[in-house]
Amino acid sequence: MAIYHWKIQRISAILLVPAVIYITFYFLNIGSLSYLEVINDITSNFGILFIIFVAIVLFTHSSLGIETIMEDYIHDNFLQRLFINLSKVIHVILLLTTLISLTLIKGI
Amino acid sequence: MAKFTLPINSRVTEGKTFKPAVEPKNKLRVDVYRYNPDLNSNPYLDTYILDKNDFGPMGLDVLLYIKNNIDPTLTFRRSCREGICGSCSMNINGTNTLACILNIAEETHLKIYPLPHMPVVKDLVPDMKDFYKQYESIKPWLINDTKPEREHYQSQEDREKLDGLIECVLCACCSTSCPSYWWNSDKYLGPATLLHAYRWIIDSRDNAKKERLSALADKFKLFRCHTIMNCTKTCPKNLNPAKAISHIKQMLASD
Repeated sequence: MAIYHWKIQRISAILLVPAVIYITFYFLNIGSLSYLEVINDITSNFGILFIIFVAIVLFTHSSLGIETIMEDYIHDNFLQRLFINLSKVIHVILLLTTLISLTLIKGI
Repeated sequence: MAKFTLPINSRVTEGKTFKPAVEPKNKLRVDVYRYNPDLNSNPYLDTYILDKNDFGPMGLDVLLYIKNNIDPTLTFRRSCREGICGSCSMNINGTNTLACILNIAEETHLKIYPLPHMPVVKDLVPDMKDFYKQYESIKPWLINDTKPEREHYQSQEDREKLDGLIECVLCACCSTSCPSYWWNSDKYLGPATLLHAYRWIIDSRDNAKKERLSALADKFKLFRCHTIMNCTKTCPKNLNPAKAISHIKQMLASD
């Protein structure tokens, strides 16, 4: 289990590198795009797949990272489990929020 | 939960200042952490104003000079005075090191504390009990049931793999410089113990590689290492425990 956790954390970190570079360059260029062009980019097949991919990888990476921090600093077992589970629920909510937002944008 | 305040009786207060009758020509100010559990009081910092011409060039020479000439109550561990026994590990000017191999010739001010985040027995002597228990837990001996006629042979290539590992003297400088070890020293084995674990894992004469690896596959014992690298930075023997730990992780991941 510990190895699985360690592997997923590293794989997700590597996957996020090109995604973050792409997002950074996209945002640097966003001033030259119109509102409709941005909506078109997001709702294109590539845009939807990219956002779903980034959301899954990002929230997985973030959830595992926060779990590690909680294990490091919270020594009370009950509180540790409580905060880790709470963090997982928040990450699932964030992922669902992303997917719902995407559906709503697609519907525009 | 992480503690945000210091425990009672842990705040370091100001101690005595020992000054020579004549102003030293080659002055060295030495602040030394003092703690006596019998007094049931806070630790304090004694200051010694010394002349560097009176003693040798190493950190341990300073401490021995203080103990022999100024304050015989000063307590610290020492033995070999050449970086082989690992006894005189302590924190000098913010870095964990062996006092006997630290050249202080260029220094004008030394701040000497015991190894951080260890219970203090007295003055500069930390309690190493848990550290040694962790070392024992990795079975630091050869596990091989086969009985050779003479000895277990090893090729030169296999022997070379142990270089950079067998030089560790278990001074605990690396483990006590590791923030992960500070917060979870009861569960995380720490860099020194893991370096030795790796030393036995890659020993070609040992037959228990699989068992040794599976014993380490734990989110606390091994995976509390977050590659902070303080261990490698501080090692007074210039070893690389972080590299050894990463090799163990790679071995587990590729299994």
